[in-house]
Amino acid sequence: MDTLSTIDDLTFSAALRHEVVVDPTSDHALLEATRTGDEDAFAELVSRYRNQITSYIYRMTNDYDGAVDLAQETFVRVYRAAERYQTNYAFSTYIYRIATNLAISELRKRKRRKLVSLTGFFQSKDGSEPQEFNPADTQPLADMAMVDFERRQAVQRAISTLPEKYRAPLILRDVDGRSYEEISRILETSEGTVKSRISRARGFLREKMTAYL
Amino acid sequence: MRTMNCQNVRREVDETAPSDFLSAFARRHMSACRECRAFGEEHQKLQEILSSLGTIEAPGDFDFRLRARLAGEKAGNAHFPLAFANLSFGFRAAVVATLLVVFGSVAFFNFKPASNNSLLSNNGSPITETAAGGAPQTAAVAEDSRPVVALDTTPVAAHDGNVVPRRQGTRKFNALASAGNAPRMGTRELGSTPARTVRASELNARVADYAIESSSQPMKVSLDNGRGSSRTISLPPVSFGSQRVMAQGAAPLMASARGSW
Repeated sequence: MDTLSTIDDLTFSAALRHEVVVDPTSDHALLEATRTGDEDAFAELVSRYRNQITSYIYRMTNDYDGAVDLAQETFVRVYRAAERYQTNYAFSTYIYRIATNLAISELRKRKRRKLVSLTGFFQSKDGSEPQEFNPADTQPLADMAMVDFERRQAVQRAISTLPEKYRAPLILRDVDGRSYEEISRILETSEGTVKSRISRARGFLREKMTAYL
Repeated sequence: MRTMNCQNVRREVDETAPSDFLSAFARRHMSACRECRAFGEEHQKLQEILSSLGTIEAPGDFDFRLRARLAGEKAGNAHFPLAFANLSFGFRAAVVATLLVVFGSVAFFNFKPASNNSLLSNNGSPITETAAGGAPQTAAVAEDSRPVVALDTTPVAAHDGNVVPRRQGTRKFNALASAGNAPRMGTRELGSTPARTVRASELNARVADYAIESSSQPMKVSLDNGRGSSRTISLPPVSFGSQRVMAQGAAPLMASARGSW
């Protein structure tokens, strides 16, 4: 029922109305300030997201320098499109969508150029179904840090062999810890599709990472 | 039924975040099903490995480089008139394509008539060739039967009665000639240009001074490639209008009796 039962409801509603004030430190507020020419606000946005975006693109492309360039391009696009930005979704969804599109474009460019990479040797020719690759040496190493490093390298290599449509949701879910709902918004697909792709991606990884599981 | 349960439980395990709890049914099933328990353990280890990857940090100069890039873009955009750079990519592409089409069309229609000024007309008849600085030796009739008399240096009767070379031509021809990289052209279309009329009243009694240097001998041009191979081209004399070619050694040609030609 929308009708107010007591006068307290009215007071509570008014109090709520006062509390709905835009947080000046929120992403939306910072982008709004950027739109008006506040460079410091944009710098704050960059400092909040630079590591996340760089890391995400690096997981996607397995190339640190390229990831830094693409992360910069992501922020440039955010800055350029600040006028057109709409606050329908969270800013993180918006910026991750830009980063995802850039990363996927880069992967497709590489595929067209047929760049030879070390991880590329483990991929099939059409890039759809990854092939088996030699598992890491399972003999114990002297240093646990080395083991940990080796394991991370193997995981990164294994991720980079995944088809791009499986790679992005897996990274967003299992590495960045984002919700299925947010991933579906970032990738502009349904939640069911996201879940299905993540499940398949994990299946691929389980096959590749048997030495570490 | 057992397989169905395993599928459901594995799907639940797959979709459950590490911090979430499995349902009682799934836990009960996993305690009884060894394969599903193994699946759950593998899943948990994989999640641990993936979440342990952590965040890769951006380089220290990330902000500096980004600021420099944005500043560079701003400076670059300042050169675009009417905020051209702020337009969408599709609109900019359409504008560029339109400009290319317009300039291409202009260039095409501008240079197309020049191809008619080749050394041979369309019907293959030779067109006038002239010696440098000299009078026309031969002439031909163009496709539309208009006289193509053309020359770099057409002799023109000056008021004092001397024959002087006249430089006449289109601006385009001169531009091409001055460019130095244009092919050498020995002909020029003057069909649409009226010849200068010399009236008797202007000439008074000096009509006889106007001579046309026309030879009854064919013009011969010898070409030598410097390796001992040579070729001679002979162009026969052509007479037209009231001009009458006299025999070699005869008196200079006189103007017509009508006073103009």
